[in-house]
Amino acid sequence: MTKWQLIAKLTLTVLGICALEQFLTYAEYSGADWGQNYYFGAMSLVSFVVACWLLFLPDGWAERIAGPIGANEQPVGRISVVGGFRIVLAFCGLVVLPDRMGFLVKAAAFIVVAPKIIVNMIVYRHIDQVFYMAGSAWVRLVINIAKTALGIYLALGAPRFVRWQARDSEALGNECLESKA
Amino acid sequence: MNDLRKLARIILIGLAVYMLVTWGITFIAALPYFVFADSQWRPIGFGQLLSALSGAVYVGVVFYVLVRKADLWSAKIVGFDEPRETRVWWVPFAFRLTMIFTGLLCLYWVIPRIISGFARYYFYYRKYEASRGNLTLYDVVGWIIQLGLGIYLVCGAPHFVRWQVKKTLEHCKRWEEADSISDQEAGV
Repeated sequence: MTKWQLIAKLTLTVLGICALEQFLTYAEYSGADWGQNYYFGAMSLVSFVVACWLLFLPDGWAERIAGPIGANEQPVGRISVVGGFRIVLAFCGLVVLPDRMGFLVKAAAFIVVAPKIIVNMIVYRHIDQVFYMAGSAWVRLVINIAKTALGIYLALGAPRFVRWQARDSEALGNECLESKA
Repeated sequence: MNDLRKLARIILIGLAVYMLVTWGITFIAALPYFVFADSQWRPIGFGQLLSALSGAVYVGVVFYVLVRKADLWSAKIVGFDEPRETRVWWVPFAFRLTMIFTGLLCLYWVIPRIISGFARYYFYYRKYEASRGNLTLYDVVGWIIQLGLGIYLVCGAPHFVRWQVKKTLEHCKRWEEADSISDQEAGV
């Protein structure tokens, strides 16, 4: 992988994270009226497909964006690939995470009262009011958890994703060298 | 001024221009609420106007610091952690620049939100006892954490950057070790 291909791939990864965030937002809107809100349902599906495409199949696009490989261009080093991906993903995570701080505080408060709720459920067979939420509220809760988890995973540098991308980039770099030869 | 300082300067001035443009759009959007709204809705417009004004102060300070004192900032961001001879000299710089960029963005989002939230609470909720504009403890604690996170990131997030750089180097080292083992196995 050349320098310009790496820059193109990093840009596509940022766009993929934006599409993933949009998918979760549209899914939250469509969840408010599940099964009837076709517009948001369709938009969430489209966003999901675009996100998967940008995050997991960016090589073809990156090659096209970067253009033909110059005669003197060399593949980038491993440190550039790993460092580049970690920086970009940490940035995305730190942009996603601050919005979810209120939810994290609520989650922490719930963890404090959760043992009491569980004891009540087992000993007194009393189900707390919190479990009688509307379906849309459950969808919102799941989306909030997913967004928070995404933010934390990205802020930590998304190690598994970076490992996979690095291997993929090395394979692409070998192909580049072979095509030049 | 070396290339890295120039790069840091360009990126931060770009951020300052982005903030100025988006703040202008927010201010223009908030103005009709205040000017044309009836007396009941005016406090909401007032909250938005206050939020826009606080955004203006923040953007003004950031613009002054980033444009007028750009050399000072870029020198701080570039740092002298790694000698230029090593091949990883750019990693701490890139992480630090990203953290400062994210921190400025985070503060840009949270400061007007805090001002607007408190303004709505004092001028609308307490006055009309309406369903909108109420503040909960979760909101306030969440804002305080966001503010703290933003300030930490603007300071360059030294611990986080050090940890990220360490993890990046470890990753590369493990990769090279795995490759050398597989090469040895293939050789055998």
